[in-house]
Amino acid sequence: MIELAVGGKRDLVLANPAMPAAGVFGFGDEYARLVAIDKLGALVTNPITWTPRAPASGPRVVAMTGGMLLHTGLPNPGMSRAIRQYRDVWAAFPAPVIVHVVATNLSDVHRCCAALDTLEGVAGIELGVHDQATAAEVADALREAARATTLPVIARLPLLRAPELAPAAQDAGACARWLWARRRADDARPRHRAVRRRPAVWAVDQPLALRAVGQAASQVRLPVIGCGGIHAREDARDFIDAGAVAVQVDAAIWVKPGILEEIAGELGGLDATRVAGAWPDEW
Amino acid sequence: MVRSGDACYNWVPCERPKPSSSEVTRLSAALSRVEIASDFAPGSIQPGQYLLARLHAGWDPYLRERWQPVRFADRLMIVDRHTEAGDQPGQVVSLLGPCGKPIPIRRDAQHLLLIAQDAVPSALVALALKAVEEGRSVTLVLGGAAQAYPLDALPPEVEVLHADRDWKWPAQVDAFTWAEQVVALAPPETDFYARLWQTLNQLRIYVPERFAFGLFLPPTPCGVGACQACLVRGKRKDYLACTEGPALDLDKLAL
Repeated sequence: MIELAVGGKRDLVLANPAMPAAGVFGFGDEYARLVAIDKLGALVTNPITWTPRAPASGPRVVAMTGGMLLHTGLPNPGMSRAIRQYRDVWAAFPAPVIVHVVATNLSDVHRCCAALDTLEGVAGIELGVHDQATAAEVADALREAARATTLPVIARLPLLRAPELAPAAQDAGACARWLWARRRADDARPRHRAVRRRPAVWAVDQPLALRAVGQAASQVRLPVIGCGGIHAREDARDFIDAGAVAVQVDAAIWVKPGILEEIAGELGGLDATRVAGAWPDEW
Repeated sequence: MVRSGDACYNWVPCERPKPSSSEVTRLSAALSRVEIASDFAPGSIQPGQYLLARLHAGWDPYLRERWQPVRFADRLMIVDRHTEAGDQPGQVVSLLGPCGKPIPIRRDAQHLLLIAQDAVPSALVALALKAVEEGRSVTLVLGGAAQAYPLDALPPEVEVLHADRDWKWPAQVDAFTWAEQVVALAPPETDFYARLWQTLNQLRIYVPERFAFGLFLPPTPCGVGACQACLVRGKRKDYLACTEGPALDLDKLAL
């Protein structure tokens, strides 16, 4: 068992350290026919905003050598409709549900978190931090979330700015940190037309993410969730060895849906169950 | 029901067509027709439905390919493939699917007008083959790059017309008024479906629901409606091309 909510009012306990990353697995049980969802540590939903968001216009997916560019525009029905649509799925989901919230202002942070506070099945909130956010903005958003809900709030920090933002997240009461947001990449080639500054998925991100996890795990006492470039069981184990207590699998699920189960099976009950900061003889 | 599994190519690349069933037939310099042994039950894949295929053990290319079967019979799946793909005999392919919904053809629609513009018309060919078997009349209009599709791959019962650069073809008005249902295929980033919808509304007094469908075949990362990358804007709601499509009613879309 892994406790992610260190010092929080409510627990966020995972039976398994493997879970999908936000934006990969859908809002509920979309993958239920391809993946044994009861083996997951948690479900992390697609991003949800307070107001509905339309899909991005123009090309959204560009396959590249060794990866792809992806820009969906974070389409979602808005928090109220999402709750109406998925509350039953979340209540019946066989693993804790962590709702990924995206907000552009403190008011939306408050409203989203308050709306989720007492929802059956929802065990935590993952707050997406924009890659341009300042440390002060991160702290303000997390404090606002803490005022609105007693649910554990996980801060998702941009990979390359994690060392800068991590202390602010810890001071503001985040219970855990997910370290990776897809890096953005420029591609202005004519054949890709409007595709510019799109979040990129590349396996080569893994070394960067591993280094960041190692730095973060030694820097703060918050549980760290590793993510970025995990494409095999060995990759996931590397993150655990680097100091993460759990891992999120990103676009690899689309290519090989079974990889999530493989990782869950590999890590379940192994070193990954060690609580962050615990001495080896304490677990 | 979407599922995943491995299937094995059961074909041998060859330079000229062979009549035998478990081989590859080169349709043109760029296109081959491949028969693949599969454990999918006959009839489990309908025209319009597709599979997400992966031919390599590595991660490059990253995304799965969309395979739009032309025909499915006796556990042999027939797929149009670009010859340049360079597939090898005995190659194992990982398949995920069937994805999407069959193209919804009304029972009473006896005259089908199928239009392909700048796209390989495999999905429409699959629909045409089934419609001919069911005794329907089919006209297939090929425009732009779709005109390179080899006609000898089509049954003689299908009337084939070629559109010019301005998207005109002989007896165009007659074809639109003759049709009891229209299914079109074009690259999703073009305004083709908007032009088609406009044309239909100019030529017909009333264009009812479920009359004109567009096939939306964008790159599909997940195929199960999770990634939201294939959402198509609708008038009242957005549609997931991967699970609710690929055939979407043009009447319900915000074109």
